[in-house]
Amino acid sequence: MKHLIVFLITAVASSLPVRCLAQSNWLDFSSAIPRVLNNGSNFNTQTPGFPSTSGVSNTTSAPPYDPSFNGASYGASGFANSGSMYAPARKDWKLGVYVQNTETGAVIQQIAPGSAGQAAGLQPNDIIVAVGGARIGNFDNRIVDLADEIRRSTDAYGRVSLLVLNSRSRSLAALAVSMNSTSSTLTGVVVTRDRASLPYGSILNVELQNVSKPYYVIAGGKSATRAEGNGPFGFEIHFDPRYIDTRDRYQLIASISVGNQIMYGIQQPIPVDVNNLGQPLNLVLEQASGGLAFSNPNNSVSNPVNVVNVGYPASFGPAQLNELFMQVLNRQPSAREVVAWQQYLSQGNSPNDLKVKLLSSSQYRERFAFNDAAYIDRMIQVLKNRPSNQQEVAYFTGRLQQTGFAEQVANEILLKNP
Amino acid sequence: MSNRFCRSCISVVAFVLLAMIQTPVVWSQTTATPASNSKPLPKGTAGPVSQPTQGLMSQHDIEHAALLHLIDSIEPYHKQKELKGSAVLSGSTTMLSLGSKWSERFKKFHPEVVFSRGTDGTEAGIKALAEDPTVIAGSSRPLTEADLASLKKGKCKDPLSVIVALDPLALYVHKSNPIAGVTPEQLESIFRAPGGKGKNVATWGELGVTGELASKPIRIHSRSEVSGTTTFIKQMVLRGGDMAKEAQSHKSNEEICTAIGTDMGGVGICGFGEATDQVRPVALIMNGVVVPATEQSFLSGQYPFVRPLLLIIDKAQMASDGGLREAVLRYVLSRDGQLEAVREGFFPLDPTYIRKQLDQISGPQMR
Repeated sequence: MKHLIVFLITAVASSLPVRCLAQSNWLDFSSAIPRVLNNGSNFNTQTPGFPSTSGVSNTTSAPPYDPSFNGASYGASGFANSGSMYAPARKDWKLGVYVQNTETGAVIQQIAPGSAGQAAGLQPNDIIVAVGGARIGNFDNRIVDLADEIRRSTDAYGRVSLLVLNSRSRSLAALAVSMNSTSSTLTGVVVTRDRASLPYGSILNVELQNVSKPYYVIAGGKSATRAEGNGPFGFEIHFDPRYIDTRDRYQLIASISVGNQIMYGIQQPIPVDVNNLGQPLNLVLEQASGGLAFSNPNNSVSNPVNVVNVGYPASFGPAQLNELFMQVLNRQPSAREVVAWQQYLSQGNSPNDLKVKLLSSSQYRERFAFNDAAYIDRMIQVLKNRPSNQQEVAYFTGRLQQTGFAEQVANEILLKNP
Repeated sequence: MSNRFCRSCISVVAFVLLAMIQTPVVWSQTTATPASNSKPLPKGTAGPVSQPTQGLMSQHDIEHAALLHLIDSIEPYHKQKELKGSAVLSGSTTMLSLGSKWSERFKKFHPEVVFSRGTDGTEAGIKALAEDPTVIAGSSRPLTEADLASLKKGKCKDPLSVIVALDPLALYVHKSNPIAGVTPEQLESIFRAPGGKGKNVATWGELGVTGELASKPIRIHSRSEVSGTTTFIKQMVLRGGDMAKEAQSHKSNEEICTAIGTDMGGVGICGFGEATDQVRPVALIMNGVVVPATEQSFLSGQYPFVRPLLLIIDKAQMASDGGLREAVLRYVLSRDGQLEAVREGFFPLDPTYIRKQLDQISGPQMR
C-alpha cells in the first residue's frame, strides 16, 4: 500500500505541467529561472488554473495566471493596467523563525522570542513540511520557500495551518498558527464622480507614493481589487513601515482600469500623513479622457464633454507605450518591456524621459552603424515631433562627438526651443 | 527508523494530509451593488459580462500580467543606512551598460557613494578581483572551479558569486535564412572547430537548408577569446571543445547582430535583448519538440539555453566596507535593480532564488 501511494505521488508529480528541461551541464542554476507562465507544450491563451488551496504546490512564488481565478491566494499586490488581475492587499505575516531548506522541508534553526512560532510550540530542529497544504523545501530542482507559501496561504486574520515534523517525538502533526503582522494599514473608500456601473473585470488600483523620493517604492504600498458596479469601493493598503521616513511627504493615487484602458483617475493626489493613519481616506475619481496620457501639455486631443484631464497616475497605458516603441524602435514592446517601462513611468519619469532612454540605448544607436548625423537627425525627429534642420543636426552631432554621451545630448535637444 | 523510510513516510502522510487541509479563503470584499437603472458605461468599455472572458486575454496580456506579478513579488530596495565610500566595477562587457545604470540608480539612494569603471571583459574582471579584492567583478558566465582556485590563490580569499540577472541566448541568422530549427547537437556542430571530437558542419546544406543558401558556407560571428560570452559558449555548447577558428570576432554582442544583419550566411549567438530587425532567432528542437526562442517559451521553462549574469565580490571585504557591498548586492536583487536589468534587455530572477541569495549575502532572514 505504501509503495502504491509513493508510486501515485511520483506519477502525479511527473505529470504536472511544469517541466524542467535543464541539461545538467547547463543549468545548475535552473531554480533561478522564473517560471511565471505555465502553458505546458501548447501556447494557447488558456492556462491551467490552479486551485487557491490544497494540492501540491509546484510553482514558484508567482503562480500561473488563471483568468477565472479570483486571485485570493496571490501573495503580492499587482498594479494591473492590463488584463484582469486581482490582487487584494495582504499583510506581511511573520512566523518568527529562521530556517534552512532541505528535501524534507524547512528545518528550524532558531525561533524569535515572543513570536507566533514560539507561541505555537515550535522548537529548533522541527521541520515544517507543508504550509496550507503545499509542500515546502528543496525538491524537483526548485526551492519552495516558507515565506512565499505563508503569503499564499494565510487568511486575512493571519491564520495558517502547518504540517510539522516534531523533532522530539518524530511525529508529523498539523498545527494551526496565528501569526503576527508587521504591516501598517491604510484604508479608505473610492467612488467615481459619475457613479457609472463598472463592468466585470474593472480593477481599482490604489498606491501610496513617496513624493520626496519617487524612486523609493514602498513594499506593500499598492493594492489592486475588483471594482464592479456603482461603488463605493473599499480599499486597504498594508505597507511595510520600515520603508517610511517621517521626514518625507507621501500621497495616495488611484485609478480604475478596464482591460488595457484607464477609465478613471484622480485629479489631485491625496496627501497622506503617515503619522496619523487612523482616518479612512475618501477619494473621488474622475472619468479619464478616453485613456490618453494624462496632463501631458503636448496632448492636443480635445476632451469630450464631462471628462477631465486627470493628473494621475503618471504612467500611461500600454496603448501609448506601444505607440512610443513603434515610433522610436519600429516594433512593439515585449510584455517584459511593457512591465519594466510602465514601472519607470509610474515613478515620476515623463514620457519624454522614456523616449530619451530608448533613443540613447546602445542597441538603438548601433542601428545607425555609428553614423552620428543620421542618429541625431532621427533623435530630433522623435523628440521634437517635427523634421530636423541641417543646422541643428550639425550642432548636436558635434555635441555628441564632444561629450560622447547620447543621453545628455538627447536631453539638450529636448530643452532647446523650439 | 531509517532515513529513507522516514522520508517516504512523510511523503505518504503529506500527500494524504494535503488533500484534507483546506485553508479558508478570506479577502476584502468590495461593497459594489449594481443598481437596476445604471447609467451608461464610460466610453470604450464593453457591456457588463457575467462570465470571465478567458478567450479575450491574448498571450501577450497573460505574459504581461504574470510578469507584473513576478516583479511585485520581489521586494523593493530598503535603504537601511547612509553609505559612503567608493567601489570599482570591473568586468563583463555584456553587463557594462547595466552596471552603469545600476550605479546611477543606486546613487539616488546613496548619493555619497562613488562608482568607477575598471577593466572591461569577464576574464579581465576576474583577474582584477584576484589582484585587488576590493573590486566588484561582473561575469557573463558561471564561475568554474579553476576561476575559484585562481581567485583564492590571489588576494580574493572568500569569493562570493551572486547571480543577478538572466540572459537567455539564441542562435541568430539573417532574416532571410529559412532554417526552421536546430537540435543541441546541430548547434554544437556549427560552432565546433573542425577535426575535433565531434561533428562540424561547414555549409548550410548540411543543416538541411535548401535553396541558394545550401551551398554557402556558414560564417560564424562571435566575440573575442577573452569574452565571457565566448567562454560560456565553449563551456556549455561545445562542452569544453574549441570554437571554429574561422569565426569573425566582434567587440560586442550588438555588433554581432549588426554583422549578421548584413551577412546572409552569417550565424551567431546573442542574447534575446540584443536582436535587431535584420536578424531572426532560430528555434531549438528539444527531444523532437520545436521550442521557439521567445520570451513566452523561456518564461514557461521550456527554452533551456540561458546564461546567468553574475557579480563577484570578496566576502572578506564585506566586514570592513561599512555595508557598501551588501547594499549594492541587495539593491541589484531588489525590485528596482531587477527592473533595471529588464530595461536593459535581460530577465529577472525567480523571487525565491533571490531570497535564497539574500540569505547568503545578509545572513538568514526571518520568515
